[in-house]
Amino acid sequence: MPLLRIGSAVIASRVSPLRLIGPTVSLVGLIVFAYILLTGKINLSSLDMGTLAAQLGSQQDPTTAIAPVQLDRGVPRAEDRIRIATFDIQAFDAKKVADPNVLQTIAAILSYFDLVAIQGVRSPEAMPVARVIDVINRSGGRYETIQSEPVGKPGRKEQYAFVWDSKRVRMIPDSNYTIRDDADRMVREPYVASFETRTPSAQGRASFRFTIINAHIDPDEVNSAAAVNELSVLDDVFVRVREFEYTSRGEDDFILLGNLNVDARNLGELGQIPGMISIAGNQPTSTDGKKTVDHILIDRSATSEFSTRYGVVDYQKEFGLTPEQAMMISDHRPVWAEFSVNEISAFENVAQQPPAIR
Amino acid sequence: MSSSHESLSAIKSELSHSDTKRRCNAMRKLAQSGSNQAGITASVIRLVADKNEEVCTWASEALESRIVPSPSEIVELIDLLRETKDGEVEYWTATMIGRLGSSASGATAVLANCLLDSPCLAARERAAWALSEIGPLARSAMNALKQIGPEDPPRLQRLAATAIASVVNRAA
Repeated sequence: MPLLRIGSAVIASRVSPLRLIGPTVSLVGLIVFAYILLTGKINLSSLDMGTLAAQLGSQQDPTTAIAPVQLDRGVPRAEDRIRIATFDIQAFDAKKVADPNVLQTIAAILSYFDLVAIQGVRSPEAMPVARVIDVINRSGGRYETIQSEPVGKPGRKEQYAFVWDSKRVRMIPDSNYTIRDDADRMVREPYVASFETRTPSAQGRASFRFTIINAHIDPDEVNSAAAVNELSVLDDVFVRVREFEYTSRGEDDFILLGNLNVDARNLGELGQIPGMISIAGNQPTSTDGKKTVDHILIDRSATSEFSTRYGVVDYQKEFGLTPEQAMMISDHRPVWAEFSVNEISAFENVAQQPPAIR
Repeated sequence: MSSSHESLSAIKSELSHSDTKRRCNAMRKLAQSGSNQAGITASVIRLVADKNEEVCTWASEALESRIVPSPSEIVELIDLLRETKDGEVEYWTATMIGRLGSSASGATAVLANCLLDSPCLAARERAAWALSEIGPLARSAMNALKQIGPEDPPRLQRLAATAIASVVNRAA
């Protein structure tokens, strides 16, 4: 708490009117407790994706225990890289996770990544995120989460969340905050947190440490012809968070991600920050494959840890869902990118935009 | 023509059904559909004030990312904005009118009233935004826009200033 207060004071003097407030509610304790209670009771080897796909086609009694899911989609993650994703889970509320099929699919999708920035949570008490993490951890995972306070206009408030595999990543304590926006320049103020990879110390290289800015832009405030454009505010957010984090914590790697409601050609001032790239570019990210609105942005001249591997998960295809079943998960697909688990100097290798992996 | 008309009537009928479950299913289906259905904008807007919270959620979801109004709906939207007393309904009606751009110039007067008289700040902000989207054809709202002063919240001031610039600059 004191650290956050100091943080607020520091950034208030540097970046007014976009300043920091916090802290937000941590669920780490609850999740760890659930993990301790539940670990070891499930035979993971008896499960495969075919089982999950079959379950998705049938209705389950919501009172029965939720079956575990196969983590990582059965593909082990590389030891030397982490996968970071953004996923707008449309209207992610208690009702959505009350459907066991939807709950399991979201859990299976999230478990594919080491860290996921989520938009669209509609539950101040974080219940839907906690339930998904419970399923992952019952299945042998060890995921944790933190969620922002509600942001947005009355009647349309939502939260951001970060979900991460605590075996591979840890959040820097007290590094989370919501951008303070006294001048009310944004409908939903972005949510920020810093993380670092957990890597064996024997490798002799520092863990990759980075700050993520999680954003959900209002679709009516991104018109490039209009004077009111949130993307022209978001570039200030990126620059000022970078300045603040570099000054206060020595941080030099920043990832801005989320539902920006524009394609890569219309990023406006945000896309004009020197070195800034949208990793997945114009790959379609809506569930119907018709629109690109979700992005992972990095300054490629600074974040050389980007491994050049990225993709957009078409979970309708991956899990053999009907279009209607897929839309019950979300109207967005997750976008992901891989990064080295170790810090790489910006001078060692400049990240290039590679071909996509889907 | 008759089949699309029937389908539109059927959707509207479900959206206004007295059974909450049916209203909710219709609204969720619409919010989760991949395509925009023209002609139902006002019906969806009314549901943001539904007594059922889930119906409201899906109505806002649909309005935020799915509903693209057509110019033929402008009269209905003007009437809705004039008649409603609900701030959420005002907010979304002004938003939908703004999405129509200059073809919504007939809504200038009701937007100006909303800007000055609505008790809902978010609705007043969206009214200012909609006027800026209409541009020079919203010239008759200039007096209303100029009444937004330093005592008003900063976002509203900024949006009103943007609207004034939009009316003047694009007209020049």
